[in-house]
Amino acid sequence: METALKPTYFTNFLTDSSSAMAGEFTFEHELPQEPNLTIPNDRLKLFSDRWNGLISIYFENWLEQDNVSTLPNRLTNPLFGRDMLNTWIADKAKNAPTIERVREITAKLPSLTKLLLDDRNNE
Amino acid sequence: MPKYFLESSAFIKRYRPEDGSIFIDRLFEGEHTLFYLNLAILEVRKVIFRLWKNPLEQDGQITEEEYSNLESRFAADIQKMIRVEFSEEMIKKSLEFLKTASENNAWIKTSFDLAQLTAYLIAKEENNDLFFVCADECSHLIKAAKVFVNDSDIIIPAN
Repeated sequence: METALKPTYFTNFLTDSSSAMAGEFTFEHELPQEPNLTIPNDRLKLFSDRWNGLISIYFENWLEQDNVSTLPNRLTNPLFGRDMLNTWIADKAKNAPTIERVREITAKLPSLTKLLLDDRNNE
Repeated sequence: MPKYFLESSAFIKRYRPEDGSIFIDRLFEGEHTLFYLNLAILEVRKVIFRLWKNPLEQDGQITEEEYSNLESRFAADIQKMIRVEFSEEMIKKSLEFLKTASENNAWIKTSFDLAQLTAYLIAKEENNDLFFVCADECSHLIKAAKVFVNDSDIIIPAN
């Protein structure tokens, strides 16, 4: 059965900033049963706690999700760049000198632990 | 196989002979599972870079080639270790650990100290036999760690 959604009136539209309700719609024809409200892209939330041929559409969730979806992966995924880091480690490790050679280099330096903690304590 | 979490202050002892270096060497030479926090990469590399590009007067300076050698050795070492990623769970729980430590008269001085301890404590929840290896110079962090784990779980490298 083909059903047309016809907005007949809007209530509470932006009258209360704490409310998510943007509008209400009624059906032009009476439906025999509650429609399937599953939206494939999960961006439009339809709520029908009390089925009276009335569907409330909440745009707030829609807008929030839209904001999240526009953020780049590198700003939301803590593991973004893992491949880059692992590649750097692997490349750098190829020509690693022995630890004895490293200690010849650092023998002239002060305690590295002290340098690290100085740096950390000055953060 | 024994498991050790190398806090950066102890880990960096591997690259210069100083108190605790021999113990850290033994960890790398033996059959051990070594953990480190991903932020240690940032901390250790920054110290090495500072010695090349921006040494203080008392620091001494290394050449570009020496800098590259140090980075290569460090990279080769962390390849053999298990990297713990600083997670959003750790961000959430870090303040709970800070609060508990504070209530027990142990103040965690810096954000990196807090990050290291938080990562260790959460890694220990998954690896009950995990030791915390921390430099003696980091005494406030050791004191804070003792609020959460037994003294025997904390290792202070000494020669």
